[in-house]
Amino acid sequence: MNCPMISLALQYLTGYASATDAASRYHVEWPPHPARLFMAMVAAWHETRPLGTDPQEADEAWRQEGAALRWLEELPPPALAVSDHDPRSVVEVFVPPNDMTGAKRTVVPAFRTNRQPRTFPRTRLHDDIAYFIWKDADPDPAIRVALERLSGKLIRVGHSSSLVRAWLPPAEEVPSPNWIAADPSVSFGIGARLSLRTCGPGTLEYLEAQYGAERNARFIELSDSIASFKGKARNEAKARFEEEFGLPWRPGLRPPEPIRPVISSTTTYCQPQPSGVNIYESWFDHNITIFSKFEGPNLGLESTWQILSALRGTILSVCDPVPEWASGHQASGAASESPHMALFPLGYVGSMHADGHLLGVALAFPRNISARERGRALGRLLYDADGTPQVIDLKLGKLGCWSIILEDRPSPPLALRPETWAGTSDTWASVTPVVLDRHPKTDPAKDRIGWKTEVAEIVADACQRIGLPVPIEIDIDKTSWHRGAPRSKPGPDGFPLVPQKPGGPLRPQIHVWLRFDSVVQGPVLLGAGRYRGYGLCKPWWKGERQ
Amino acid sequence: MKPQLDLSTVKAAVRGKAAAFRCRAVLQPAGGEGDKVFPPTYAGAVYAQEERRVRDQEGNWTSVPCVLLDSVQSQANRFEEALQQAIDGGSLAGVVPVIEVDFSGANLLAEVGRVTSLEAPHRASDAILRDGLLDGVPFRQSVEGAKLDEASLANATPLYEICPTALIFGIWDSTGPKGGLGAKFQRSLVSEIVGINAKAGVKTGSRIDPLQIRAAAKVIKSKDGYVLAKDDKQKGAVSPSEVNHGNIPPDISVGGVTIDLAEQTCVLSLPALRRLRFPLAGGRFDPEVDAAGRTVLAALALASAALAFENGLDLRSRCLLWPSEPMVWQLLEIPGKPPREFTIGGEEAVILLKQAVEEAESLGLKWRREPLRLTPSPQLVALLRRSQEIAAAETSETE
Repeated sequence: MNCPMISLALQYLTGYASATDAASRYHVEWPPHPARLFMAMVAAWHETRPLGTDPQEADEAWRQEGAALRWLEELPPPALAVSDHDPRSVVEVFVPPNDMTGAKRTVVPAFRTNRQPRTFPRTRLHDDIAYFIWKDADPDPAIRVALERLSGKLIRVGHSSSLVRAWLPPAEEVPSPNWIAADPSVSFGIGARLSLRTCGPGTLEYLEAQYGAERNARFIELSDSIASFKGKARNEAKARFEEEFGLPWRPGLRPPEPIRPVISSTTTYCQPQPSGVNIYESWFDHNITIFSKFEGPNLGLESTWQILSALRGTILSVCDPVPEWASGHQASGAASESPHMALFPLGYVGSMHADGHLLGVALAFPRNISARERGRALGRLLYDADGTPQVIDLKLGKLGCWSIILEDRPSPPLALRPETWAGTSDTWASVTPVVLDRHPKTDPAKDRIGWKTEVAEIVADACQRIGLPVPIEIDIDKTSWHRGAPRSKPGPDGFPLVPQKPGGPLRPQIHVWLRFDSVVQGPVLLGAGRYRGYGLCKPWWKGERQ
Repeated sequence: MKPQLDLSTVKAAVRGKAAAFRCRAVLQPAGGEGDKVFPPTYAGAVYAQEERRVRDQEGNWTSVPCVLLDSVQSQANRFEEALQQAIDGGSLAGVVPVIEVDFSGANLLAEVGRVTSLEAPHRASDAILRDGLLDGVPFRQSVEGAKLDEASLANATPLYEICPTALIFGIWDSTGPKGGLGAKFQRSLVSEIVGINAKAGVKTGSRIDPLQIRAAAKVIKSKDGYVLAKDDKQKGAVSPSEVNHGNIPPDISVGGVTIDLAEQTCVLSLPALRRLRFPLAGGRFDPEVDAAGRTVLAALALASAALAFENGLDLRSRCLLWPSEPMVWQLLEIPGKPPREFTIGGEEAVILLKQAVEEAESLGLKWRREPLRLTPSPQLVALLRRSQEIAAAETSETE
């Protein structure tokens, strides 16, 4: 790298990183979030504050480190170069308490049965050095020296057992990053996405306020005064205490605890796109239209058909005339032979606690239909007379009534983001089952392997039918590869079968896992139910299978 | 032949910019390579497992299953045990400070003996010590104990004087007068043992009764034991197994693992020690004194690891590990540069520690060589006696 840059290398000395995911104490955080690194540096800075008796140079050096932190927090989020990892299974450890009160307390260690469960997520790193890289950052020599010195003070990042060594490596030793902050003007990148906590201007001040060292010192000062004063002076001190801390003083009152800081600002990271990569696109345009549920009962993915049928009915009745690309029918009433608009459900799947409930629905359009044409056809449905998004009611029969509205929040839930469904990946797996375009001829009871092979061929055809190449690997199962998605067959926790035309056979439906020889741009909708939400696929990454 | 770690190397490391001393030691089951070992089980009767990338014999990367054999917290307890044994056994008696609460003569249901700051879960800030008396005064209100209220990174002297091990293994005085902002010292020594290429085994549990007492011979439990039931329909009649007689059929369940080897990784963080300041009387600071105090703690940490290592690691029933080779410490100085390597045995580590202590003392930083002996308060004794009665009653109810 020849451009100006600064990098901080973090070596995990035990070979493990031990930091708890901010969202779940049963998961380890990896890669280390930039905000976590910043908080560790702030802690190191404050813990090494010179004392009044130290030489003036020490104080000056310390202030430079503070300036370096303020300079760092102004920078954009860093890129990361981090290795893969193998997390240890998370177990609950019971820690003997120390702050027992009450008549039943037991003090001898063997009798401390009221132990508190804790978890210490830990992960083994393939390479124990992680790099944080700020491109185009060119600090003053004084800032660079201060950052170097401050880095050397880091003891840990994460749990106290997550010992580290940190330094500023020369540019030629810094590897290329494998995680970069996603460009917000470009919705889609290749492969996985991560949401990492990052800091910005004002973070240092916020952390100091949350720690409350000054507040704690003031508490002790006033308490000591109250304890030592008498009479009027004591009463005045008590009044000052109550005014400053909002509660009356009494003996034994504990000083205010530091408030655990919460860094809620996050940055989406993606993997850099290798140059010259081939991106396959299907007939569906990646610019999808997303609706979030506005009101209505909590429904799961298994209600896909009812909800999308209601939405389709609403579109047909409100948007008059409805073009062939939206209705899927020619003027004669015959089925359209061209690709047409598809509706699909947006469910909560993939994460550890995903339960498949629906957050909204979406529309995918044929790539050849311009945004203007889409607007012309659907405008009356989506917007009121003032051009404001309006609520759309969907009557769902026995399921009740849903209302939906165009999603336009800056940071909606992941399931309501276009990149979740229309991003790029070389590996996809179904969320709703793929309805096979034809019935396999092989009897699975007699020739299971032959049947699987034939089903894979049908799935491959389905990919080609929407303009994608044949995948290099296909796997099928009745269980989805995405946690939270119902099984492919009717039954408890399963999808109902897609209703067929009168007299037509019920077609099998199956979950699929697909790997292509290059990245595919979503949305990926496959099989006979693709226009009504069945056969919806989502990018899949290693470790996601339940 | 690697050089032996000496005081001058430790001093230079502490004063310089080196990040850590690190040791990666290979251990094998005491029963020999391939013998089964029993990892700790956690809630749900599970082991803590992971995959680890290793090179196979052809040099290709492959993943092997691994299992945690001894956690960071448990290893710290073992190192403290090793120091306590050395204090009791003589090599560190009169060398390393420790705080004791002596329960002997307290008229308890079961003797507790002595609990020290090396044995109490929360070290010097543990409730046991908090409820102890020093010359009749509650410990934390005594002259020695009250000093701990002022302990901080900038004033590690009070802890150094009476409980220096807390500065190595970590301590948080969150129940003291400063609450959450009470003395908090992060651990500087981290060690963990992992079994590599762990394959699950089975374990059996059974009892063959030499008296061949039959299950049909019912008994009635009583306060003093049991009496024979008149017949098996008598009210309260139970099987003799309820009073621990009779055969217990074998119960085959998953248990234990075989491993290729166990790896102990031990890291002593030097920046953690460099955080500590040691003011002398009158609040006077001297960088030489600070360096000397940090050197003592480094030596104490290394000694604890070396002594625990040489004792053999008796982690739990059927999990005794022995080192395959001597302990080798790397000094991590310049990133990217191969670290220098040193050896040091338990005896040599004790000598190094004594030298460091003497140097610190010559500069005015002294610690308490004799144990600080507390007596349990009457309330603590009463509480303990009552706890033992409750525990005994609970045990007899479940039998």
